[in-house]
Amino acid sequence: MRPLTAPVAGLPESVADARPVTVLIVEDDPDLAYLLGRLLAREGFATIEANDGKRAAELIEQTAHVDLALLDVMLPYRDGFSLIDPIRARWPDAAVVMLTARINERDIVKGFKCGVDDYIGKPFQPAELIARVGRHLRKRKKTSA
Amino acid sequence: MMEFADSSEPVLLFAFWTGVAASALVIAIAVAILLLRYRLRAFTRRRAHFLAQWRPFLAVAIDAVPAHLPELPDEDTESFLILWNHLHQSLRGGVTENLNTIAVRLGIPERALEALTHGGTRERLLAIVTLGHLRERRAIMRLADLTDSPNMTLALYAAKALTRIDPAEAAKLLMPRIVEYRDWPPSLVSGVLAEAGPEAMSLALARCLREASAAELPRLSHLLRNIEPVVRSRVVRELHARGGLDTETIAQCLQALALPTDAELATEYGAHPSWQVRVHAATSLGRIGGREHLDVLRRLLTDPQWWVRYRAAQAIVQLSGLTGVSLDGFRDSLADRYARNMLDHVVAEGQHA
Repeated sequence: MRPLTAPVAGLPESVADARPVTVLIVEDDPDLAYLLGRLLAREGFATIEANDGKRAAELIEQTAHVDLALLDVMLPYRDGFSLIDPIRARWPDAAVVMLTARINERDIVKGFKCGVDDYIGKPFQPAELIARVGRHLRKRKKTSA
Repeated sequence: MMEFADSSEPVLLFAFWTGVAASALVIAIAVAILLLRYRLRAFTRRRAHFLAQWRPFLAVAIDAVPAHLPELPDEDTESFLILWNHLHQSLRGGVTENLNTIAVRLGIPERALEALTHGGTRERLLAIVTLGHLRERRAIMRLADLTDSPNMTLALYAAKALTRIDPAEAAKLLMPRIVEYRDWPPSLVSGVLAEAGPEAMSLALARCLREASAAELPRLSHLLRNIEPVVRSRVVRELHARGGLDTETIAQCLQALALPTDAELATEYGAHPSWQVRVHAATSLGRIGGREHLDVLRRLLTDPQWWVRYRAAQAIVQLSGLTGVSLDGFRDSLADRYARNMLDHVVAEGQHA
């Protein structure tokens, strides 16, 4: 397997105000949260993490800017769908990617109607996750340029 | 106080010794609680130390197997297997091969095989799941024996592990058991078979269903969904041609229809005396039907049973999106007020979903 050490091409290293690309990870599984944090940090992203919906809502209010939100669907206190509106209100340009074991038609349609940009099903391929995150961030860069 | 102990009054003696016994019990419970808390803290500390050490190593496995691995003491085997299996279930692709290589280097297959034979239920379950992820062929015969276990959890997990290790061998071993073991829940059996994928199981399942008696069909017809669509269509048509099917089997057959060419079969069942069958017929037409089936659904929209009308309306909304038929035009063409109301109801549901 090709090591994920080469930088993902075309990704913003910083945006106009010289801050790192920041990803919000909301995942209640501690092993998976650790893995996601490591994967994204290795690609050069800054990460902030929340283990439940309530903490995520607090971070959304406290954090100045996030470029992409990676949300689990099933979370303690509030589900991932309920965080989409606050994310959109706070960071209109941020991409929202749902990470879920429950890939069914109803949830997918509900998510897209709520403003989700992409779904990644569990179990996932790490390389695919990085590629999708990179694609959404590149799109955002083009839109804001 | 000792005067009470020396007293010859039976009531006082009884009260004294009852007090002593109650105090001893309270002290014993307090000591037990303290011991349990101490053990829990020690376990939590050990687990936190284990995770701090092993999570980074297993995370590195995403790229490659680390050159050096720490020792894995026996007492940490369970913690390792829980973390390892969890990552196996959360990730896919080449990283799972790396996880397997790490496990082999740590001697996990041998430890799991040992636990399979000599462990308690918890150790055996963990071993079964591990051996399935490792695709360890040395475990096949022992897993096959475990599928006969009176403990259904052990039996079904052993079946699942077998399908991971060798789907073809699992198909041969499991089919007779699936037919014979009536206490195996159909939904769990489906989950086990889904592990192998339809290609591996389809022919064996198709044969099983063709040979099933009328008494066995209601239970076994749930397995249709595990058969690859083209083979499934053939099996459903053969069962239909057999005739005399019960409501449950027909419902399963209709739910299993996946090819547009099977829509005619669903149409036939739209006139079945049982409303449960008509419900499934309507649902199937929404899934696999076309413009030519709208008339059948129009008729079902006036069915005396509410659920049939509801599913027919849902099917019409689904098909209108695919066939370009105007829903407004279709609604206006309905003479029956209840049919129009039902269609409005389903459209409103979709708008508010």
